[in-house]
Amino acid sequence: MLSVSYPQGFRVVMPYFWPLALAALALAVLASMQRLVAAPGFEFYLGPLFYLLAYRWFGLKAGIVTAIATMLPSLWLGMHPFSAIFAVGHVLALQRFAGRDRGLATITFLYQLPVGLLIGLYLVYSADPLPVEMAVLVVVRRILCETLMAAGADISMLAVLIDTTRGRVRRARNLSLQQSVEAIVSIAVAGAATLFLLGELNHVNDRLELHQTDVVAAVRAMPNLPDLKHDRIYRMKMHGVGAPMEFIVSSTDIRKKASDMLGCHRFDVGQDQTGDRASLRYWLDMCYAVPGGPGRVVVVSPSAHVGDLYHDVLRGLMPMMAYMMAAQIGLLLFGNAVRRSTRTLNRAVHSFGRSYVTNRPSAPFREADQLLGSFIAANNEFVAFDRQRQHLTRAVEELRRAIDLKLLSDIRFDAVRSELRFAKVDPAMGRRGSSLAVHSGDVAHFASLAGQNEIMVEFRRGRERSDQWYLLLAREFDRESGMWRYGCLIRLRTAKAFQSQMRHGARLMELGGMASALSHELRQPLFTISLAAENARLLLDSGNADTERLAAKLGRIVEQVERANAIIQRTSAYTRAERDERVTMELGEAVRNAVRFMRPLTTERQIKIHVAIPDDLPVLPLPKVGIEQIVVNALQNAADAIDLRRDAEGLEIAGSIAVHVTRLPDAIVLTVRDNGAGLDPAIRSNAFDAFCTTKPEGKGTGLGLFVCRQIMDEIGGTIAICDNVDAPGAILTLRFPISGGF
Amino acid sequence: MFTPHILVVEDDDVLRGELAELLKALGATVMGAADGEQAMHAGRGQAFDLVLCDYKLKSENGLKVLAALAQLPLAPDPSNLFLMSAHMDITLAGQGEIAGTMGGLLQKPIAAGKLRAMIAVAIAAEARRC
Repeated sequence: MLSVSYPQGFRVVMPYFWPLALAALALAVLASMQRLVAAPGFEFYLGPLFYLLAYRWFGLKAGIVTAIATMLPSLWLGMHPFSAIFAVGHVLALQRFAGRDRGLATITFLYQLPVGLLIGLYLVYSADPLPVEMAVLVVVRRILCETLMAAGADISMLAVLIDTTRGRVRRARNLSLQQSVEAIVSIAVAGAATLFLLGELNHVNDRLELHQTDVVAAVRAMPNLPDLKHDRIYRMKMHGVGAPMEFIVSSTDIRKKASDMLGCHRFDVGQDQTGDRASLRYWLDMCYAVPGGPGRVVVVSPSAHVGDLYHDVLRGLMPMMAYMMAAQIGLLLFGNAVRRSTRTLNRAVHSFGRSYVTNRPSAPFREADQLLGSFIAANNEFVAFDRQRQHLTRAVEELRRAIDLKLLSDIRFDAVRSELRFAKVDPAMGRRGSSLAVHSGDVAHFASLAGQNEIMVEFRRGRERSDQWYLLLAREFDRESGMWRYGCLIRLRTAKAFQSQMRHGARLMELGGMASALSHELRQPLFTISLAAENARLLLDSGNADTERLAAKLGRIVEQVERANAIIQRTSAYTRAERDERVTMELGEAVRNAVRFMRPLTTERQIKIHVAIPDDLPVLPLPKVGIEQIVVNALQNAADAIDLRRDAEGLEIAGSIAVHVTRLPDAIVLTVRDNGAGLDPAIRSNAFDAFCTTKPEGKGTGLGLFVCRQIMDEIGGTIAICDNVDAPGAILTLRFPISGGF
Repeated sequence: MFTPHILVVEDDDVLRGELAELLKALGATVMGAADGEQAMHAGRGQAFDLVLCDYKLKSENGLKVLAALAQLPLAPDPSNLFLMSAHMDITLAGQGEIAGTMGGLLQKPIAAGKLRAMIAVAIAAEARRC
């Protein structure tokens, strides 16, 4: 029983494997013991076929065991003892040179050449030497037989495979190109040579039969036969036979004399006689016994003729062998070329997609080369594509790391749960449904966006925490499903923070500009307080303190402190970093607040502000601080523009700023119009860009209008600035849409 | 003892009242004016030893008011004309003008000691004249 363990953890058990294997081996040994004769002089054993098959099917060890087992009988049968060694050498040579992918026939042929040479030499120089022709014939016979059997084993292998791991015999799914060609060519060439040899050997046999008849007739026709002396060697020249034949005449003890004088060990008495006529050696040590009159026998040795005949056979066979040699060398080269082609192709397949192939390898066969060419082209295309893909993936990854970008589809806002729902499009994971809670402060804004085909909205994540800002871009709103088809979500790491910082900075800058105006406002109550306090002290010092007067003084102080406090409150409320919450408010309120805030400055600069706000303005969700900032900024710019014009044209110009709010059917429009210097032509086109300023160093950051536009963008409004048409100065127009966008 | 007569021009009523009260307590007589017109009116009728005028009156510039007062026949010595201002950033040109034509600029809030000193200086000057 053979059991095979698989790495996967299961075992396949083949019952009766060893008994079956041993039985097969025994059968093979029995079959190998049979001497098979294809023609006189052409004898062979099947041993090589068995050990070649065993080697091919079951591997090296089985091959060697079978080789020894099938070749041992030849030892007992008195054959040369080297056959087992040669057989083992054969298997080892195959293992070394043929491997798995090469056929057996060529290596067998090449192995048997030197082995045959050794055998031939042995035969020629042994104690019982064979003539060279015979020895060559024996060697050729051996080479042909073994090559044919190897080719046969190859063909069996091509058709039948034995799966040792499963213990199953199955048909090969596909053929090995190299083994097929090798087996077919070897069978064809070695088969042709063998058939030729068989034909020639049979022919030799027939000719010897004929020759025997001729010899008998020639002996009988010999005119001086009775005169020939006994026990002397004579030579006879026959027509059609090159070498003269030796013969003796004798009457007694013929067998011994023939053996001693002519080297004959047996006498041929015709084909129906026993005696190994199929063996080469038979013909070599055989003599004809021809009755030569009463009591006399003429013993003729045909060995010279036999030598001639085999010589002829060999002469015919040699070109055949040369042809076979050429074919086998051709096969060897062809096999190498096939192997090189497969190896090149194999390498190309295995390294597919790894790197660009610039140094194109070539395959020996045109077909393979063309295949390789297209393969390399495909490889390079793939590598280019793959690099691009990797590059893209890296870029996306970097982008994702940098701004946490997510690609989305099927985006909708769930107003009930205050959630943004979408499917994440992930290159690696496919599409996954997900959601993001939206901060309560941004819910109303989100809800109002439904139906717009393309939206861009900044919002905060989470229900309570409000420090994580996101930017959502979405497009292709589908009315049926209420979803935007595509979009992307960007986590704002710094943008929003920077924005509010910037706004804060811009406000501080305005505050800086306001410092002098503010100081006046504060110093005034401060002075009053100090005076009142001093007066109160003097009152107390005078000794006739009137409680009522004292209380009035203190009351005045408290009053002035409150006045100062109000100024501080108003300013700090404006300069505090905003939370940019939207509150439901009326636009006029923010405008009035801003104007009140700027009043000290405009008063100081002697600029009149005219404010016109209608009473019936609708209430809108607006970022209060943001709107105030816009108006403050507008007033500051207007005041600066007026100063600029005064500097240019003289101080006497009366400054005036008109702040008007107008209600239109779909929007509220706020205009801030001044009679200052107007827009600097240099910045007319980029007045809203960041850091664009015409003010001297320390006076402006260039962020004012930029921040204004950002705020207006956020609420879906517009901002524009242009010169007045009919008078000096500029007009800033802000447009707040009433429906949609909020 | 000599009692200096002081004109206070200030548009903030509460402030003007308190200032006048303090100056009186320090030994002066005080006349208050809320704007340039009232100041000119007072200046035409009386001679003042000291004039304290706010820089930023409701609709006038204190500098101009002082300049007008200086032209009056009863006008005090220009060195006794003082401008009061809460402003830190009066231009250099403005400061030069003030320094050249009058007593000086008093930064609000003006300490009581400063006012006391000014009165003392006025009294001393009068004493020297006599």
